[in-house]
Amino acid sequence: MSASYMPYYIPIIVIVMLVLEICKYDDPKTILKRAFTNVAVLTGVLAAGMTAIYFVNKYF
Amino acid sequence: MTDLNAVWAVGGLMALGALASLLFGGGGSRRAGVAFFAAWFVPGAGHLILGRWVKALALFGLLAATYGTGLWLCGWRHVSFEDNPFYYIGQFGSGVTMFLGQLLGDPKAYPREDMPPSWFDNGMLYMCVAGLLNVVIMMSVFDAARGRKAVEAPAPEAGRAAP
Repeated sequence: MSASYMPYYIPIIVIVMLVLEICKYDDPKTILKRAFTNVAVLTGVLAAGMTAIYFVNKYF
Repeated sequence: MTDLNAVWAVGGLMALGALASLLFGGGGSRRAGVAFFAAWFVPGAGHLILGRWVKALALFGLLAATYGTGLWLCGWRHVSFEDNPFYYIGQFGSGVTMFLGQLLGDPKAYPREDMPPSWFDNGMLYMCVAGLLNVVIMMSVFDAARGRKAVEAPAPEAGRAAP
């Protein structure tokens, strides 16, 4: 039986970003806003990388 | 060095560090040292000593949830050196993650039969990340104890100043 890693990707990324921002800022709103922005940016970068690798593998 | 010897060596070093800061540190550096080593032993304890209990609770909750999830995915067993040397060393970032692994007895994680085997690696990663994030928290405690404030929230832009 095999299953995707994906269910465990979002929680760990959110936790890492939250801890990093909690260490840096005191204001809860700023912490949440920056943490989730960073999660979105990181996910976007990883998705772009995966897409690029997919097309490189498919056509080259 | 066996698994248990490494645990006692790291634990002993950290305890010695805490004792040295308590005995030989003066004023601010004593507080900084004790908070730093307490932060290693229990995530959030350093912030608690500095009087930042909300941060302490939040950090402890996040790291406890991460480590607990990792343990659950690995059948309540910690990462051994044979499983993955990098993940194993990551657990040493926090005293609780280090000692709890030993207290659980069986020194080797294994995939649970009721879960997909591919989730086993995630479990080890979660346990390792809990330890590594605690190192970041220790640095933050050290900074805070030495009087460096957290970064101020950026003020909303009220228009650009004239050049």
